[in-house]
Parts: sequence; structure tokens; C-alpha cells
Amino acid sequence: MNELLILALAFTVLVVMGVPLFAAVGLTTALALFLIEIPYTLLAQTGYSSLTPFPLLTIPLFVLAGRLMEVGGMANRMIGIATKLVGAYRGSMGLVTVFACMLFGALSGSGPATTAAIGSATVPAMKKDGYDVPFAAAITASAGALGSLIPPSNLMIIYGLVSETSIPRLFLAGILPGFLVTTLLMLTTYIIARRRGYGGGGDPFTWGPFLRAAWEGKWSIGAPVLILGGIYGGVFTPTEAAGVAVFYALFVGLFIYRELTVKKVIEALRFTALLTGILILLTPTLAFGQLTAFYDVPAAVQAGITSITTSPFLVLLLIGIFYIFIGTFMESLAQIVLFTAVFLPLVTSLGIDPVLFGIFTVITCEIGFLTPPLGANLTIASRISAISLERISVAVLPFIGAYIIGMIIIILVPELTLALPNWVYGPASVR
Amino acid sequence: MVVLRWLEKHFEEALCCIALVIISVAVFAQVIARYIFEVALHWTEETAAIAMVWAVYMGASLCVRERFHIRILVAVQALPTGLGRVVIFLADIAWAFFCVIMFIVSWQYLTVLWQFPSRSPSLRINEFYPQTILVIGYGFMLLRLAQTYILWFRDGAEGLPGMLVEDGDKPDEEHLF
Repeated sequence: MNELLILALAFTVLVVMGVPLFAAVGLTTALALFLIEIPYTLLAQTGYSSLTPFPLLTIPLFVLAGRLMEVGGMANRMIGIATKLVGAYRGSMGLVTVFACMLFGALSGSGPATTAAIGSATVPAMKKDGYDVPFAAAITASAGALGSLIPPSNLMIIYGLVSETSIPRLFLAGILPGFLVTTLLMLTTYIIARRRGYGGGGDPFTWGPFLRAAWEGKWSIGAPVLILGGIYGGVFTPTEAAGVAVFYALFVGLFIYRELTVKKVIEALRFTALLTGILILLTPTLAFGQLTAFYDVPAAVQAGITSITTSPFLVLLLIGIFYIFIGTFMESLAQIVLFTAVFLPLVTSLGIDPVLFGIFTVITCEIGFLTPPLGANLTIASRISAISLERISVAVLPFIGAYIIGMIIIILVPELTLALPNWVYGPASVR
Repeated sequence: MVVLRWLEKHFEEALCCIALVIISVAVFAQVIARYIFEVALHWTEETAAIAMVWAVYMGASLCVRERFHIRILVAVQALPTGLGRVVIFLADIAWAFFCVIMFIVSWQYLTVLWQFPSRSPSLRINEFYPQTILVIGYGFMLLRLAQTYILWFRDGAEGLPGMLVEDGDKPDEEHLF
């Protein structure tokens, strides 16, 4: 345990100093290798091999597809559909934002990317409706996080890889919790908007305009149908679905909506290139993950926590609090890689389904998107709305509350998460 | 000169984008081949996987140039400029040190691979070549990091080097996961 303390301390100092996260993890791993006298070659080996699993390709492909759909006009059509559906209520633009993020989440695997895609159109609209700007930004940041819960999801892919859980099963499991959190976020928005009297300018809901908007947006709605239908119909794997999504986005953007240009396609590629570079974080992180077994961390954690309580609810709650705390300064991908290996043996020994733990992990990561100092969604929302991170951090608190309520419901009602995957694929085999 | 300047600006970006196109095409080709031509392509997965590793390392070098790597700067920014600068120097030295470690370790690893060549399962190429990206990638990251400092110094060494904002094409979003 003593060596572990040294490692934790070294890591914390490096991160607080401002060393980029991947180098901080890498240096800590090198130190760990030094302490237990394992050859450093491990770093070079995982430097290559950790990036080659086929499911990992899904991440850049969905980022690219999402960006192409955004610049190709699909995001705007989704906002159109959402406006026709929920545009008339109190705080309508806020509700539209949440709903549109849910729809876009079914195209995009990334919470922050969803914030960017929907928020850049709806934050100005909310400002025009007289919304308090931090409130508008907070809605966008929190609703954008839905992109990670509603399949496809980058975080679930990473979780599936490190925990050896079926990725299609995880994707299915995210759907109902996704609806639940959407509902909670819309309620929060509605209550606050009602109290402050923000306008409900749109026409009341009638079928006509809604159906017309849905018909006009049929190619956008077609994307999630194609992606998810293809995966669950057994037509293609999630990775192949991502490849198909890229070409579907190209096709619709170039030939149907005709909003894509060569310049926009290249811009989307450059954007994806930057985000792909961030994945280098996975290489030292996975090397470190292999070492936690050497230090008997999972066993120690298991012994420590089960000595306090063996109630699955309390254990998950404890892990949840820990994850939310870690998530304030840890990048979500690294968080999943580092801590899944530590906690998964414990929770499975208590009879918790790994799929449920996956969805739970993703929700805690989403809260991490919304907490400073490192909250990706906050950063983007503050850029879009041109106000400081601090002001959004305060305004986002009620929405974090909504996420925490969602998290607790998911722990208390496992069926909500597990019903769909178990219905489609049959109950999980006991591992 | 124009060519050189373009390469300085876009070299890694271009390679990364090409790799991304290869990934997309390979994965899509696999689906098309299976359903339209009813053949199972065997080269697609491996090609896409190699392209993925190259895309990540080139992208990582690009992220150095564009200051896109995830790092926590609140603590440093809270310090007075002089002290903050010292801390960020130390942080960047630690970063460079990691790149040097990785460069050396990868070099040794590749030497072994070269001495005991093995062929990849489906493309039948020497495993050594795709893995050279380890040395290339960390080499580029070191160069880009050094470049950051040279440019910062040339611009009068004001503020914090990690926070250099370049004119023009600054990315507008951050770590989107």
C-alpha cells in the first residue's frame, strides 16, 4: 500500500502542476514499473497494441460521422423537429435544447460534441427569448452529456473493452436510462423556467406541423434508425455501423441536403484528427491498468469496502461519490480505464450486472463533464455562450442534481437498465 | 519555402486525416463486400487498426502544436505569473522527459523487433514497419514541444508558454469525450 501512496501522490502533483494528463499517467506508470522492477518495454508494447482493438475504431468514426452530420445540416433538422414537438411550453427553447440533444445523442457518441452541435444553434435562440445566459449555457452543457448515455457512446465502448462486456448490450442498456435522464432534465428546465417566467413562444403542439417537420427531417431520423437497427438486427458490428454512419452522413450531406462542401468535409476530418490525438491517453492508461493487478488493488478495495457494507445499493453509492469526486479533475476515458478494473470484481461479487455497472459508470462520467476544473461540457458551453466557466458551474448545479437523482433511480431499479438488453439478447450468462 | 511552411503547419494533420480516410474506407469496404459482393475481406481489420495507431500518434503531435492536450491549468493560472511560469516550465520538462523515455524505450523495442522479424497475420508484412510510429510519434511530439518554446521565446517570452494562442486557425472545441 505504501508504494501505491507514492504513486497516487506523484500523479496528483504532476496533474496539479499542469502536466498533460497522458504524460502524467505515463510518468506514473514508468515510476510504478521502476518500483516493481518490470522492464519498461511494457510501455512501448502497450503504446502500440492498446490502440489496435477493432472496437476502438468506432470512436474516431463516430466523431467524424457526428461532425459531418452537424455541418451537413442534420443537427438543424433535429432542432426543427424538437421545436414542433415541445416548442409551446414554458421555457420552450430550453426544452427544445434538451430534446434535440437527446435526438442528436443517437447520432453522436460524445457528450461534449453533442453540446457543441446543438448548443451553437440553441444558445443564441435562448438568449433571444430573454433567458439568463448562464442558465441557457447550463441547459446545453447538461443536455449535451446525454450524447454519452444514449447509444452510440464512446464511453461505453471503452468500458466494454476494459470490462469485456458486450458493447451492443451496453448500447441497448443506455436507451431507457437515457429517456429517464432526458425527462429529469426537462423537468428541471421547466420548473426553473416557469419560476422565472421565460417565454413559451411557439405554437401549441398539433400533429400537422410536427409530422411535416419529422418528414422533412426523415434523413436525419434515418441515421439512428440505420445505426441502431443495423447493430441490433445483427447486420453489422458497432464499428461497422460507425463506418456506415460516416458514408451515410456524406451521402445525405452531399446529395440530399446539399449543405456539405469539400471544404466542410476536410474541416470535419481536421476536427476528428485533433480528437483522435487525445486518444493517446489510452496507451499509458491501459499499461497502468495492467499494473493495478500486481499491486492487488482490486482485492484490497474489495476487502476494504465489503468490511464497511455489503449492500449493493450502498456500495454503488460509495463508488458513485468517489467517481463524481474523481471526475472533477479526471478525464472520463482515463477514469473508466483506471477504475473499472479496480471496482468491477467487487461489484460483480455482489451480484451486480456488469452492464448495469457500465451504465452507472457512464452517468457518473457525465456528471464529471459538468464539474470544474475539468468539465469538458462546461468548457464548450462557456465558449459557445461567451461567459465564464465559474458562472456556468453555479447555474449547472440543479442539473447535476437531476443527474444524481437519475443515478440513484438506476441503482435502485436495475430492471430499467437491464430490461431491454435482456429482452433482446436473453439474460446475461453468468461469468 | 512555401512547401516547407505548409508542411510545418499541416504535416501531422495531413497524415492523420489520410489515416482517418483509410479507416473509414476499410471499415465501409468490409460491410459492402460482405453484403453486396458476398465476400469476407481479410485485409480490412488489420489495415484499419494500423491506420488507427498512426492517426492517434500523428493526432497527438498535432495536439501539441494546437495546445489541445488535456491538462489542468487552474492551479498554475492562480499563481503569480513568475511562479506560474516556473511551474509550467517544470511541467513541460516532465512532459518532455516522458517523451524521451518513450522514445528510448520504443527504440529498444523496435531493435528487438528488427532482430526477430515476424509477419502480421493477414497482410503478411513485417510487424516492424507499422510499429515504427512509436519512435516517429514521440519524436514529433518532442519537436513540437521544443517548437512551442522557440516560438514563445522569439515572441518576447511573455506570459505562459503553454498558453500561447496562435493567430488564425485555433480549434474552437476541446476534448470532446
